[in-house]
Amino acid sequence: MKETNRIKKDSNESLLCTDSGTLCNQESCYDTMTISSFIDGEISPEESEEVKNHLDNCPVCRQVVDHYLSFEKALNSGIASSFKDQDVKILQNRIMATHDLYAKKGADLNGIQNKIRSKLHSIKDFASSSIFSLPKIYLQIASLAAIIILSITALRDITDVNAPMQSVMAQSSPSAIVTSVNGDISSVIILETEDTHHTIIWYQEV
Amino acid sequence: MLGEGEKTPKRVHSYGFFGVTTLHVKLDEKQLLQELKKGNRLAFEHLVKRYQHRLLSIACGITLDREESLEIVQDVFMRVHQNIHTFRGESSLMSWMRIITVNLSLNWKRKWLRRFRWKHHDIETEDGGILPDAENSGEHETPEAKYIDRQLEQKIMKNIALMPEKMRTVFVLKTVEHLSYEEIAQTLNIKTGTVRSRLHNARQLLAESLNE
Repeated sequence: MKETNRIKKDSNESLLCTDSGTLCNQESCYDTMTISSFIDGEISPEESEEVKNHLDNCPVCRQVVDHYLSFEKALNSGIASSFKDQDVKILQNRIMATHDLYAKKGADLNGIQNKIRSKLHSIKDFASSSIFSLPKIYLQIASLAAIIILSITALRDITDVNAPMQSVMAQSSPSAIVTSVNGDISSVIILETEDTHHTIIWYQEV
Repeated sequence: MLGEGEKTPKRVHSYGFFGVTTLHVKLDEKQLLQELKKGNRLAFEHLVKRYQHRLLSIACGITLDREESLEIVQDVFMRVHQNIHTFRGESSLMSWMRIITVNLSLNWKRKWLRRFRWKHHDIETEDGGILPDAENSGEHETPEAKYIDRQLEQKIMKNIALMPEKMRTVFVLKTVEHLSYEEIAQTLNIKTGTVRSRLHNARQLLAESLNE
């Protein structure tokens, strides 16, 4: 738990507490961080009791608390009033409809997976008696060669492009989304920019 | 209007879920998880009914976009359906779904789309903005008090919308879910000190905006 902090101020910064009619000395006021933690119940019970006692006599700190609580009320009220019971019911129906579709797809997929598995077994049998049974080192060499060839090709393409990469990066921000395609594995957003007509952003779910 | 979601599921049935055709039973978490892993449709429906309000509130608080929140919550339940077999039960189902909801709400692709929507349509407008509708709030207050409350609420909501998303996320998890600093820290994978300071900063930001 965090220790409470009192604000140190000039002793002449006292003001009259309107409720109790007593002088409230701001020297004993708590900082806003402590009040924030107090509202969240994240200070010790003893400290919390001290803050409560202080709030009984200090309109300044009480106003801070009231403000903080009004923010919570506003957010909860804003969220609550943006949905009607009907929306929630429609959402539930949508979720269950999608669930049923996925469940059906899952059942279909199981059948396909079983077929694939049996096919793979036969391929495995074939591979074990063919060139696929070559040592792993050959496979690694082939993969490395493929990566090198692809890298060389890609680098050549980049150097051939007339516009340098920097100018592409420096283009102005996009002005509209042309389309967005959401897939199971990855998604694509096509944005319209001022200088080039389209910019494609590809996104892969992690 | 959003109702208060169930926070502590009560165990009223000690027997299995099979054969129960009504959804009014309250399963405990363990039973529910077992049935979900078996692919029980009723259990899934029960899960949706139990948690959709809360997830919707979290998504809506972070995105401040009504339509998108509905989409996110749908996505959350689909992910739960697809990945329930990988869920070990080390945390509660709600904690797991809360993390998925927060991650989807903060997904950069969605943020892009949201920014575009906000750029072209004012957040106060009817299509997706979550600012409270004057007709729906403060029904029992006098017109004058209602007007003042409404103005204040609008001002606060506007400034919540202007908050950095990371700050707003912490604020939403505290305000909507009433999580402890420790729980928020675990959900967002940050330190409790960061939670404390972000919450304080969020409140200070809003307090300053009220004085403007």
